[in-house]
Amino acid sequence: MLAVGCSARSHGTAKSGDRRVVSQTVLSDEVLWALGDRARAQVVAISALADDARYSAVAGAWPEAVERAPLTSESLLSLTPDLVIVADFTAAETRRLITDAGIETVTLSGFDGFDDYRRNAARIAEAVRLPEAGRELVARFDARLAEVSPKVTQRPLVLSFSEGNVAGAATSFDDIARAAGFANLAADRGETGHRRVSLEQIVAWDPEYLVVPAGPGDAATIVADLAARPGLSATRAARHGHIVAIASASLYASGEGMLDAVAALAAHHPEAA
Amino acid sequence: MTHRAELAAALVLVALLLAALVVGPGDVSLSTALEIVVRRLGGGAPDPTALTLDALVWDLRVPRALCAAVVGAALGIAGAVTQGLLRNPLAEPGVLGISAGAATFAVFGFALGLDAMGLWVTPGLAAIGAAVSLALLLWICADASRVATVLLTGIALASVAGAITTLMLALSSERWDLGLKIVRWLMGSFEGRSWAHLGAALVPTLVGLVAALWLRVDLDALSLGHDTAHSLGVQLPRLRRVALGTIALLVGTATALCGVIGFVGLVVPHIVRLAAGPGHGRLLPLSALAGAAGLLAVDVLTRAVTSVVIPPGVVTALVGGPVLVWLLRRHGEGAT
Repeated sequence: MLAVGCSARSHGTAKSGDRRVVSQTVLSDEVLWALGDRARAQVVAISALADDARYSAVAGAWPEAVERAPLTSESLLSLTPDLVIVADFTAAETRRLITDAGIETVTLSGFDGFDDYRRNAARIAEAVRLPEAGRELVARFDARLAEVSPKVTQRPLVLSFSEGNVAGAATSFDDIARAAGFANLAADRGETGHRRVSLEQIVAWDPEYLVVPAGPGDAATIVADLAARPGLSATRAARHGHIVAIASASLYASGEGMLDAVAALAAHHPEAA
Repeated sequence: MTHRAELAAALVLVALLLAALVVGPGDVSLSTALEIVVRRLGGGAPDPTALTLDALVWDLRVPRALCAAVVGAALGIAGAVTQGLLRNPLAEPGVLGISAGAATFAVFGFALGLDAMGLWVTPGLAAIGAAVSLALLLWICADASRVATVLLTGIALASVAGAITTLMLALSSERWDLGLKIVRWLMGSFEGRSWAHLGAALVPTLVGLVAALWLRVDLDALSLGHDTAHSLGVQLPRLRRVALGTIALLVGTATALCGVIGFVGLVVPHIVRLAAGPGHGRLLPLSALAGAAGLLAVDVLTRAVTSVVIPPGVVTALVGGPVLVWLLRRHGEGAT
């Protein structure tokens, strides 16, 4: 077994007998890292977004010698992988080329909440032949979920607002909001998935809490800007100081980062200690 | 001369402004909306028991409707000046590359994250882009004697600007939120436009409108041909400079305010010409009125029909594309 801090070169080339795994989704980058040394040792390339702290919970974690592969057919094939992990939104041509080249492919689908995470994590673990480690990972996830989810008697209405989109039912945010002790306002109003709504609609809904994504260091600016924005400034969320900025890597997460979002949002619950 | 067309356009505009107050979420009646408008116009504070309604009407709907009207007026009159200057009813301000230049600079700001510095950044960058595009056009065409040369140069500049914008979009494809922001801005929108946006756009638009009206006699003379216009005392180089500057100011301001909205400058003057004739004394103000009413109608109707946010630029393109085909068939090769 390779140690976590083993030479980056050994990661990039994979030892003789190891499988060569290429990860092309942020979720698989995160899960493969979380599965531990035996999974990491198989990885020769991760997605180009793996080091972007706005989206990835493992930014800077993977050794530099592990390739950051742009999602092109040529770059993927040049890595001579045994296994490629892609998503159902990966270009169909690229997926076809990989399978035609006889390379084992895992196509992940559904990135919308806790159940999807459990299913995808188990699938990735099985693909790298570490199913037991996958079960342990999901068990740790559930244990921490129970730990960060508060017991509450009231559920204030919270709305996720990002680039004009709100997150309705069947989204990660829906799970995050419920786990944090809130009710998802957009889901309550019948919205499903991520949907663009007008600023007027948000003002008319008058959310008690508004959750927005923030990059490293710009949370205060974003909150102040939204609180002063015409229209939004009249909402209960703005008037009561209930605009909550959560790190985009957590809010957009489809992996364990969702739990950080739960913890961050739960801290703003009126019943939080 | 009767002014039925002007009166009709003005009445339609007023009706649409009233409709804009009540269309949308929140169940706001016309009497409530008018009461809020009258109170706020009189300097009154928002009703503390109806803050949401006040915000919907005064903070969002009124500035949005006025922004749509201002942009429509600017694009309508810019189209009329463009067609008069180029003596071609198929000409459109977009062909001069000004909208594309404005869009490129705005997108550049998105890519660098400059838009996070404040609401004024994107409109400011778009205005600079429009000015730079115009300066390039005038510099390249300084010695050009034919309008066609200016037109083709504009098309080339628009192509280059479009390619740069597409390149930035391609480079941002790894960041879905940035790509989304760019695409949405490029499609045009009145979403979230406030009094601050309107205030910034009003003065340059009014200056452009006045400048366009000042050109009406020269444009009438030019419609008779270059030689005739020259013999009537029209200084063609000056007319071209002022007209191009006016078009850039109007289109740049409109693009800065709400992104790229195409075809208004093509369709509106053409329809107005059918009703009011080719004389620029009526064509220009009526194009402004009709442009304002037309774009406001697009915004109000799409919001009335569906709660899905539909970019006005998409609707104008859906309408304008077939109209352009109709115009091409109607005029044949003579128009080009």
